[in-house]
Amino acid sequence: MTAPRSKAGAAGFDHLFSSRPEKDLRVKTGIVELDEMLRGGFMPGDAVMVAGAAGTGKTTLALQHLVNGVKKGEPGIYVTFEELPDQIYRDAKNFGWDLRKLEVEDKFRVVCTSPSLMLESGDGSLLEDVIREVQPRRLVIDSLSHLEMFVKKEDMRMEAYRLVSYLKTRGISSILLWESPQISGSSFSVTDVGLSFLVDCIVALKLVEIESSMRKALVVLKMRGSDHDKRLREYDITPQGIAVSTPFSNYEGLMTGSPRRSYTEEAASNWAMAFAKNK
Amino acid sequence: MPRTNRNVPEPNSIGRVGQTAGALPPTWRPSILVAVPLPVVIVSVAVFNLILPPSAQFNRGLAFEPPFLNAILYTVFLAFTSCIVGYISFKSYMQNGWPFLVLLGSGAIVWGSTSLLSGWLTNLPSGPNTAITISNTGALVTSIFHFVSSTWSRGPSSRTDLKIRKSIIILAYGSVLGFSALYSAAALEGMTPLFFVPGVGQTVLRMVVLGSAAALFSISSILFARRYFASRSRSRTLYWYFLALGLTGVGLAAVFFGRAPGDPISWTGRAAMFLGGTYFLKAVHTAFKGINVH
Repeated sequence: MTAPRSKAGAAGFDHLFSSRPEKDLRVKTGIVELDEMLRGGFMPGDAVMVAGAAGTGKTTLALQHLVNGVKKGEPGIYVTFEELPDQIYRDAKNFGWDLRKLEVEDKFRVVCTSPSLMLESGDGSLLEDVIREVQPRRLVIDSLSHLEMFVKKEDMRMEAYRLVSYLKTRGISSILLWESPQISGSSFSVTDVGLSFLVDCIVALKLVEIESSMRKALVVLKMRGSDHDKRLREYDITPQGIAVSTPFSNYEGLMTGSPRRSYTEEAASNWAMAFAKNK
Repeated sequence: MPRTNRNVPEPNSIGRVGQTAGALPPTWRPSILVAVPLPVVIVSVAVFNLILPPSAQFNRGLAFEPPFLNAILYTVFLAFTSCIVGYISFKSYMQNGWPFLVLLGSGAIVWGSTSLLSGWLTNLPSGPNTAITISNTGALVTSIFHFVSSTWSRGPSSRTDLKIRKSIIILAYGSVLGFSALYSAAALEGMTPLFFVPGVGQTVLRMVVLGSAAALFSISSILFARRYFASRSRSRTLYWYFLALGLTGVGLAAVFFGRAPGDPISWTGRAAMFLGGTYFLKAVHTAFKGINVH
């Protein structure tokens, strides 16, 4: 198996080097609070892994990133191995994103394919053709986890490396989705095949149980070459897409799966309850 | 050998009806000992009041007021402990939004700031009037805050916006701190009415202010004690808090009977207030300990 080979060479990086201020060069997700966490956005040309369990909103975040990119004049491609285009159009429509319209305008493409097809094709491949056609600045692969079904575990890292390099040489900022139900317990391992080292940035999405309700937490685990917010922030999937809110500053142990209020917050709660009437 | 039911041991470990699976945390019973200082202070003041001569004939040699001692004790036992109460009330209000927490916290901030200032102004060359004025007025304002807080029955505010809550409590704390600073400046400049005249004793105004403060502290203590005994989950925090208020009230009342600053009655009253400060700290400590009900 061979991943599509780069023909662009260094020319693909041209747009990454500019006289514009560094903050302007960042690839903004369009989610204001997330961009703040990333100190302006992802680094241009970076491969970003968005990891999380089912239902955490990985696909929504990725689509929102692409749609917001199109609004800024950066065409995008969404490669999916698991959903049919109609499903994606329908789901996106629920968030107010008309993907068909963007496709008609040649600013966006949904590529529904299988991992084997994507990996085995070389020149003139489906992905190569779409990239030539749309000239994307952003690309999403939903999800990298599906490659595991077609690639031996020991080859997984190499194939992922080829794919990441292929996109980087074309100057495309990519988001690779990864289903990782195991970001819990005492281990912070995102993948068990060492992909965390290949990517430049990791955004982890996690469901956390707090006071008998499921809430969503987002954290930037890694970001090469840039400072970033290290705090866990709460987020929600709203009718407009992902909305990131305040940090979970009152809780500890969210990542280990045993959230509890911080010492001071617990004391503050006890203090109020001590004086409250009708206990 | 196949596993059968015969191999399963008798379920001796299974509890009987009413038994709990795990051991319950040891229950904490209110210690009568910690309440003993209250009657001790009252009896001591009564005794001193009987044996000490009136202000006019009071022998100054019986007064003990070394420089900075009051300042240090007021700073440690009143100002520091009040800051802690103010901090926990701040955090608590931010989290829960109960307005009485703003009152509790504001009361603590007034008490702390005026105690700090009056402690350090005790040995002014111009006499003790400034320190007494600041201290007694601070006590009255604090007691009002506590009294209102103890009668407050409304639930949390519907405003859940943390920025609004923060603004409210910062405004409240800022206002009371501003009041303490301005009032102290006015007292230093002699712009406030006299509270104490050396050689003569306390003025009627001081009697009213101090008496009201002592009464309001005591009433607040009783109201919080009622809340404590009426609640199903008796809170250690509340237990220590109402005792602290009681000691502060009794301490202020003791000062009311004092012949001169630094006399045995004054020190008995101060000791009660310092112990009250320690109890405030203990109340906060129990909140930090977590399981604070018994």
